[in-house]
Amino acid sequence: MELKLENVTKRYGNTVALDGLSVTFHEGIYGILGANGAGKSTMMNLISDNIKRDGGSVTYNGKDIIALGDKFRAVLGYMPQQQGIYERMTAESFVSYIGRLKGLKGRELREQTAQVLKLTNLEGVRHKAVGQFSGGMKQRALLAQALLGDPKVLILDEPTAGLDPRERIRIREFIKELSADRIVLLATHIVSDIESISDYVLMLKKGRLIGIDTPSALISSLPESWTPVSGRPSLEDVYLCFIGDR
Amino acid sequence: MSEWKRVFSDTRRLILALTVTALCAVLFLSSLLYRIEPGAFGDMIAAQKAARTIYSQCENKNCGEIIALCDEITAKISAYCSYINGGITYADENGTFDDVEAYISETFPRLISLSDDAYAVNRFGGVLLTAVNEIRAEAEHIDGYGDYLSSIEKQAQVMSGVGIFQGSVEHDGFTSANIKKTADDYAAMRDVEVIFGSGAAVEHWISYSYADYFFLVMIVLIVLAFLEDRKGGLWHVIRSCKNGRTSLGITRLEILICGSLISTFLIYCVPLMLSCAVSGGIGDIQRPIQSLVSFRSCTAAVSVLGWLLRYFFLKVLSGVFIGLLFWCVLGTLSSPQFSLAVLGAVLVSEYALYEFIPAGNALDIFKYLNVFSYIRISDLYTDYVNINMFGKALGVRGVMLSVMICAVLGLAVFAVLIQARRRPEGHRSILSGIDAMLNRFLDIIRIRLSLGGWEMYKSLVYGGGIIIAAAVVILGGSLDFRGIVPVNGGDYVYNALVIDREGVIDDSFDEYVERIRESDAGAELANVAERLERDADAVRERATAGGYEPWLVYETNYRIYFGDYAASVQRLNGTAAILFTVFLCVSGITYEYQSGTVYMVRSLKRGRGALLTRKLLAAALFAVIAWASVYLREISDFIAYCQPKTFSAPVQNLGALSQFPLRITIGQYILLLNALRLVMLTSVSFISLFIGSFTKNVLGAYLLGTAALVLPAVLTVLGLDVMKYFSLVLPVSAAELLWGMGGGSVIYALPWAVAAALGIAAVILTRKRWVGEEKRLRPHTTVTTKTDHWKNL
Repeated sequence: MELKLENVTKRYGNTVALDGLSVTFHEGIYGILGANGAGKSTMMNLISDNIKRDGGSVTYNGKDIIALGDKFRAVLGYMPQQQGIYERMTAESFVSYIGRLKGLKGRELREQTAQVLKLTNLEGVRHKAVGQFSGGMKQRALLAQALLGDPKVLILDEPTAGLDPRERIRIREFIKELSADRIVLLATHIVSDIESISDYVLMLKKGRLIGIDTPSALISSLPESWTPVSGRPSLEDVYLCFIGDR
Repeated sequence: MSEWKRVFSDTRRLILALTVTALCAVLFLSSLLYRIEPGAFGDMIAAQKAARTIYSQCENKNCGEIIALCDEITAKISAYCSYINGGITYADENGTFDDVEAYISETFPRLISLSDDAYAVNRFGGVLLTAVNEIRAEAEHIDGYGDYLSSIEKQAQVMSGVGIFQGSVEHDGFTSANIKKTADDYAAMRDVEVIFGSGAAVEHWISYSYADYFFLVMIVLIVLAFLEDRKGGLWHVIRSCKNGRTSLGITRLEILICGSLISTFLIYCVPLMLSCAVSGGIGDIQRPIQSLVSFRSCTAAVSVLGWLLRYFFLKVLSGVFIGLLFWCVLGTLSSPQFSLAVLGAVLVSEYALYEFIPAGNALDIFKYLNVFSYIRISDLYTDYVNINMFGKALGVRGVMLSVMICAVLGLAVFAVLIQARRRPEGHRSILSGIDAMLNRFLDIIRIRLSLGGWEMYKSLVYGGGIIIAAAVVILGGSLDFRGIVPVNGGDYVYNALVIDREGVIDDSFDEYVERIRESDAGAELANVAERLERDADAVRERATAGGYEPWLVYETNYRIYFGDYAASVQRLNGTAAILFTVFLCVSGITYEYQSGTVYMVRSLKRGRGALLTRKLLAAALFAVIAWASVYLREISDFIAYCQPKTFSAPVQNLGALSQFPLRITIGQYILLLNALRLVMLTSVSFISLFIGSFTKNVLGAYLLGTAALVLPAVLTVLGLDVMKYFSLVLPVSAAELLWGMGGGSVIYALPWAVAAALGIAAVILTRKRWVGEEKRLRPHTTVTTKTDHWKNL
């Protein structure tokens, strides 16, 4: 399984959001680090074909994702950064509606709906309108819909934002379990999440990929003169050193 | 001050308020001018102006003279209209026809200038006759007011003397108390001296009941502004501010009073000014209000001016009262959805009590101490009612006003307390339990919905489509379907014979005509039989040349429903159908934008083409609802009114359709007409969906759809004829175009082709916007990778 971005460029007027980005993903978790406006969400929106690219190609197993169309979207699970949600639907309705849009039906749909609601700890509030949910609960509902249909490519934009530590660790571990046979792209500002579960880390700065490696390799690449912010070197130091302009 | 600014300068609220005001004024003007017809606005204004001259003729005359003058004017206008319609000239006690014509040309010259158009003469004459009738009714009322008061007193005396009241257990109860109070109240009116004057402006204005509902909408808009912080999650922040509790509550109370004042001006004062401008003022404002016909039963000793001031004050007060009531209900409940549901339930129950409890019933109190009674506050002065309060008869006006003043004070305190004390969190909510129970049940259904079912459910339930659909079905019931037929006295017998003998023109027809000739009904009938035979021969000749079966058809029925007589009705109904379709469909795609779910949905397997197809199908289904609300009713009305026997006749038998290019029957013609309408409305639904996709919120979609599709149609109906080229009203109503094809010209089909092409283009463009295509990928460009930066770090 291979998801490949080659020379991908995206501009918004004069602003270059992605500048000739080339990267290949295989099974595993890819943490994406970058400051606000670095191009993380743009990259994810390009992979989910929600915005038009200005150049380059995005292929899945060798075929362009636009040419694949529905076939690619059938293996895609996408959790967007914005908490856009059908506020008047209940959690169960929301997830089952998305399930319909993923092509699930009948018993399979009902079973998967129940399963993802349980996984995201929303089972007890499944008959409550999502508009009445807290930010963290909405986040879990969005994660639940992304997990439906056993997606092979999972794009998670800030999946643990707004969750309490216990919930965050639970979801993090769950994502880790999922990564065995699928590509997981995880964008978050919570660096510790990436450090603890990512197989690889992509570092984006001003639309450019400035590095990709395992978390430990990135940490060990810190200059010797660097003073860690919390006693021992971590991915936070990598972020601050290479992205944070410190 | 910021709260004032927030409430009164919000763009959306301002647009809504101005739209409601404009709609209220336009509908009032339309009712004032007896329905505005294409190109007739100027005529109707002129007719109203002419009607004012009748008032001036009545000056310095006593009531008997006014009544006689009105009868004379009525006879002359009717005589002139009959002449224009049927060429009948007659003389009566008012003089010869020349006298009539001379009078009309001197008094109503505009009527003479319209003499080439019988329809316009009827319309103009109709307005004049209505005005004369109103003046006559007013004169009769003034003349008979004293007798009316005496009759009530007399009636009270008689009833007091009747055993059933005198000796019954109810003698001291409500019935006898009511008789006594009625007699006393009217006895106090003996000194009132009613004066004849121009009462039409006020009469028309108070009979415009829609204004009360527009006023309600304005008040609801203001109250909903108070609850916006709850929806936006700002409630906690505002409550933690220094002035966020009692002080804010008092400010909001002031805003509600000011809002009620502004709403009263916009919704009531503006139409009154329009009414005065059209009807020529109110007349002597110092005359007693009882001088107006509608206030015959009023027992308040007050002048017209005094009543108007009192009415506006009470309107402002009732606006504050209703606003406070809504504010308290909505403010007490934490959940916005539930509070709206509860409010809806309260309104429905109140309306049921208001509408279904008969006056004089023991349950009167629920009818009169009711939101809808307070909305319709003019009834307090036009209707005399005593209510049964524990056996005592109390005047409904006094009770309602006392209760309103007490309630305003009580609710104002309560509303401020809610603002100050109600906390955003931590309430035990019984309603949320019901909500969960209802959702548990509904989820069983929802989880089984197909994608198409989901789209319908989203539009109908979440998008409020079910309310719009109900409104569409209800409003469709108030449409007219028949045009106005010029009355031609000479045609009565002929028409009766045609209706009697509708069918194939064969030997039996000749026998029918022969039988009429042989009957001893006189020369007139023989002449009519001859005319019938002559017309039938013309049809036969045409049919032989055209190669179809000749039928005798009563053409007027088709003309008043689908033909030239129905042109204005068809345009109006076409506009209604467009309005219904736009409101049902325009938010189809906007809902996703408003929810912020577009990216998520588009990344799903069936979130593009399949979802759009379902949205288009749902839009098409809504177009069917709009079509049925208007045109299924038209078919039903046509069949009930005409009981047609000629559906099997070739359509060419209708004189106006003799050159119709398709060889079809009349029944197939009506089917074709309605199929075209359905296709056009479907096209409108797709265009609406496309237009809606340009906005990010549902309200914006409604406004944009209305501006793009409904407004041009409304302007066409209002007589701005050039707008028919920019509107879809002609292709949607279809009747005018199809009837036009009766002369053999197929150019009339062009607007359908254009409308259908627009519909198809809308589908293609919507698909392009929503689904996207491979083509949108630009040619591959090579950009140097910068990943090797890492190596240099």
